[in-house]
Parts: sequence; C-alpha cells; structure tokens
Amino acid sequence: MGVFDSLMLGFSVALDPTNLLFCFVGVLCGTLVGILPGLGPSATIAILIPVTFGMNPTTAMIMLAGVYYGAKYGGALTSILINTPGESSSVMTCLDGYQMAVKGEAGRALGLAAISSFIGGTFSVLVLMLIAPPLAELAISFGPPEYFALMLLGLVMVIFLGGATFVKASISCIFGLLLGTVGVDPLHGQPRLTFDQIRLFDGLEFVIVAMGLFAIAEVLVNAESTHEAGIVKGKLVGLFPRLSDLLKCKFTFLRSTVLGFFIGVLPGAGSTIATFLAYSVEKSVSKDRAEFGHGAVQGVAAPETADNSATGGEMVPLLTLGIPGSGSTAVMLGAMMTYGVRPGPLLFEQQPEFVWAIIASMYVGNVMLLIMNLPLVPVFASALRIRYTILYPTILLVCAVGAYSLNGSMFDVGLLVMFGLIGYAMRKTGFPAAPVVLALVLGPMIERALSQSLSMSQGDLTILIERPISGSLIALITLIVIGAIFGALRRRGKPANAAAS
Amino acid sequence: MNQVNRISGFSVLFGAGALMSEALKLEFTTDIGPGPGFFPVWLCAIMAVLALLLIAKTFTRAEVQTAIDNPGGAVLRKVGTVFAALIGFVIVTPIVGFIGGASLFLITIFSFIESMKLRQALPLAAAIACAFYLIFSVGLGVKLPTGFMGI
Repeated sequence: MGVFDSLMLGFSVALDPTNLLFCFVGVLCGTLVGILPGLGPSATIAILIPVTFGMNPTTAMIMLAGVYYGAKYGGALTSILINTPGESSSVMTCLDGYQMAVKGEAGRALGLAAISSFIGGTFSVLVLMLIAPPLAELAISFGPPEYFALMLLGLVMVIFLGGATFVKASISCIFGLLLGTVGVDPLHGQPRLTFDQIRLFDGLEFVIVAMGLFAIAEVLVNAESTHEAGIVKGKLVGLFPRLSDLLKCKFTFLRSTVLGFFIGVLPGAGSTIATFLAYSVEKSVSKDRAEFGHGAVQGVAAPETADNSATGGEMVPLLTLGIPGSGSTAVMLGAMMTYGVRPGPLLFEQQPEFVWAIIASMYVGNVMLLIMNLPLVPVFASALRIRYTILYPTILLVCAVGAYSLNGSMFDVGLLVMFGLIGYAMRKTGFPAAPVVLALVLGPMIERALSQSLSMSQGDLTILIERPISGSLIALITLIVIGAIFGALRRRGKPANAAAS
Repeated sequence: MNQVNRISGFSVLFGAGALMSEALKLEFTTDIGPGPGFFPVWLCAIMAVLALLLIAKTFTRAEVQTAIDNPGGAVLRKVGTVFAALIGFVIVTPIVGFIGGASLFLITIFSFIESMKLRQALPLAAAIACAFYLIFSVGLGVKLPTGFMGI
C-alpha cells in the first residue's frame, strides 16, 4: 500500500465520530495542561492511561497523542500572558511573546504563536508520514544486536543531551533500568529484586512510576509556592495575525520546522533544545537582531514552530523502531504496550490502520487546535484564574484514582506515593526524571536483546561490533562518550570565570 | 550544593548496595548465556561506581552554587504534610471508602496546609470527593476503593 492509500485508510479511522471526539478531548486536555504551569504532557498522559483502559487502543492513542501536541499550543499562552512557561519548551516564547503582550500586542502574539504551532505541527506530520514507512522497512532487517545498540544509543543520548550532569543523568538511567528488572524474569522465570513481595512479581506498573515521578513530583514542586497568575491587563484583540507578520516570518517557519523536526528525531534532544536552537538561529540570521528580546515576531514564531515540529520528529523513532526518545514518548510507548500494541517496524505492516490513524489524527488535531486557539484564547486564559490551592490536591486525587484502578489495590497507591517522594527528592537534588522512565520502558527490551545476542554468539560480546549496523551504532556511542569526556576535560581546564560566563 | 550531592551520593550508594545484596542471590550465568542475576548485578555495580564518583566530586571540587534550590523549613513542612496526607489516604481509604478517604485528604490539605476555614473546606472537600465518585465510578466505570459502607 502506498503512502497516499495508507493515509486515506488512516483518515477513514481518524474521522470516525468517536475518534474525532476523543481527538478533541485530547487536544483540549493538552491545551489546558500546557496552560496550567506545573503539569506537563508526560504527567497528564500517565494520569489518563488508566482512564483509557476500556477504550479501543486506536481511540486511546489518538487521545493521548492529542494531549502531547495540544500541550505545545497551550504552553505559549502562559509564556505570552504571564511570562511563565507552562512547559520547558515554552521558555523561549517568553522572551519576545511577553514583551509583545506588555506593548499591548498580546492578541497578535497569541495568534502568531497559534499559526506557527500549526505550521510546525502540520509540516512535521507530513515528514513523519514520508520517512516513517521506509525507516520501518529498513528496521525489519534488524536483529537483537542492532536493537540492543539502537536502544543503548537512545539511552546514551538521553544521558548526554538531557541537560543534567553526566553522573546524575547516568544514575537516573541505571535506576530506571534496575526498576525494569523488578519482577519475574521472563527468560528464566525467577523473581528478581522483589524483596519477597508477591505483589511485585508482575513487575512495577510503568504507569505508577511515571505518575509518581512526573505528576506527583511536579505537583509538589509547584505546590511549594502559591501561584498567583499576574495576567497582562487588557482585552485580547487582534488574534488573527497580520499578513505582514506571516510574510516576515516565512523563512523563519521553514528553518524552524526543519530544525525542530530533526532535533525531535534525536533521542534525548527533545523540543526544548529545538526551541533554543531555533531562536538562536533566527536571532543570528535576522536583520533586526536588536529587536529580539523586545517583542520581535520572529522571536515568537521560531520557538513555537520548532516546538511543534519536534513532536512529529519524536514520533518517528517511537512508531518505526518502538524506541521512545523523550519522557512523553516513553509514557506513550508504555501506554501502547499496556493496550497490547507492540510499536516497532512491524507495526506498519501488521496494524496499518492503527499507526496511520494516529498520523492522520495529528493532521485533524492540528486543525482543531488552530480553530480552537484563535478565537478561544480568552476562554483558555480564564483557566489561569483557577486557584492552585484547589487544583493540586485534585490532581493528586486523580493520580491516586488512576493508580488504584490498575489492579484495584491500595498497594499500588502506596507505590505511587513512594515514587512521588523519590521524584520530588530527585527534582530537588538535580537528578532528571525522564531517563528513569525511558530506561524503565527500554530496560526489559535491552535486556532481552542483549541476552538474545549473547545466546546467538555463545556469549561472545563481539557480535555487537561485528555486524555492520550494530557496529556503526556502537562506534557512534563510543564517539559520543569520548566527545563528552573531552568536552568535560576542556571545560575543567578553563578558568572558573570563563566557564561561568 | 556539595553537601546535597554528598547526601544523594551516599543514598544512591546505599540503595545500590541493598539491591546488589538481593541481586547476588540470583544466578549470574547459565548454560545458554546470561542468568537472571547478570543484568541486575552489573547495573548495581555501575550505580555504585557512579555514586562513588558523585561523592568523590564533592571532595575534589570547590563549592559551586547552582540552580538547585534549598527548599527551607516551611516548604519542607508543607510538602511533608502533603505526603503525610497522601499516606493517610492510603491507610484510611480501605476502611472508610473513597468518598470518606478523599474528603479527609482534601480537608487536611485545605485547612491544615492552605489555611482555609473549616466551614469552607468541609463542603468543598465533600463536593470534590462526590464529583470524583460520580465522574469516575458512575460515569467512567472506574473501580474505586470501598469501605465498610460499600462506597
């Protein structure tokens, strides 16, 4: 089946009234989550997974994907109106978006952000649609050594590109891998790291760990201080951007979408880095460089386009290889596995209606978001007036309900609280949470791939470097590690003040 | 910052040691390849080395101020109370049921942490707990814990 036929198949599923409704629910939830500081898409997807258990897996994934890219649209709103990014990827939008709002051009900035998000989001789905099937076809020839090397590359990139220090990110990653080994070993049937707790024999529920580390920890960090949203005064008017703004940003859209997509594909890099780079590139190539930071339209368009473009990029390794590149896509992978869907290269062959329905729904969802975001921005802005003192205990209760509903056991709620405590401690001490979740999902797969590889070679590790693809990937991993070590040594050699600057 | 890293380093080291003692009880290799203990033992060993590296760095590097903030007593008390309320919810809910447990949890947060008057906190907590019951149990068919009253 060609790409066009597959897409038509996807649209026939995505345009089903039930799927349309849940796509709408997903993008609406995503927008609200993006608006409310303190609850990211990873946490929201994790919270929503138990709610989706009764649903058809396609419908559920359409909704969860909607939350993911919907949050990108919502993040711009708080950045522009209250100078507080709802997401880390919205930080760059604050710089010029808030300045525009201060000048009384909040409507113009929000309209431009919505259009930029739409362009970035739609373009990335287009590229995803074109490159995912050939990549999946290539990946069919992958054996256990290739998968092991690929997943190892994913983890190494998350460690090095995640923004935390190498040691702390590595500890987070190893912690996640260890959590993945809890339960009865599928290869040998022996219980591991269960501390004789029968309830742990089935392993740790991925959703509980994700909710604890992301949702509970995030809520508690935000509950430390009371949020009083200081919204920019004035009526939101002129939400439809001027044609002159769009023309001024035409190359910005192009550069940022390409940059955002390819950075999104890289495991661990994610949309936050994409927005920083897109902003820097625009600032360096712009003729009006001095305007940046004082309300430049390109300063809003570039990060918003890159942020949304990265979402499509992040879906590429998830759908084609079954390997997530970020915390949010790791949670989505966990959700798919919970529904009994195994993402990977065979997904395109065996369940084309599932994977193409998700891709098609991303087009539909982006149109919904554009329609919603232009005229309904004032309505969404009113969500900022909800008192956090009421919101955060409610979110904690939703998490508890979600954890309980998995197995009908309060033991799971207890585990949720424990992982919430661990997540909070990790935040406070600078340990990143995303590698834990990513490693927890990838851990059992890595172990299986390594065991199968070693069984194939009778315990000879050189199998990993002898095969061309796995050998190249291992070489790439080695280069990344050596590069990072040299980089760290060079930084250490520099005087403290130079390093600080 | 160094002190924070030292404490976290020792905590990670302790955790790695505890897990290692459990992992060492498992078979390391089998006739067909790695055994059930292979992966956990290696991971615990790497984790212990990383923890030692983190600790060592705190002794070899000068104190660096980073973005990691010191929460302070009041904040820790607030967060601690939220955790205590969550643990209370886990203990109390199987006895009094979801509506009772959720109401008590919310009242604790609203009145003890957020200083809301009891006459405001009580109806608000009850309303939220009932709304949860209606949305999740009645509307979405999600199983909720039941107590001696059956709800």
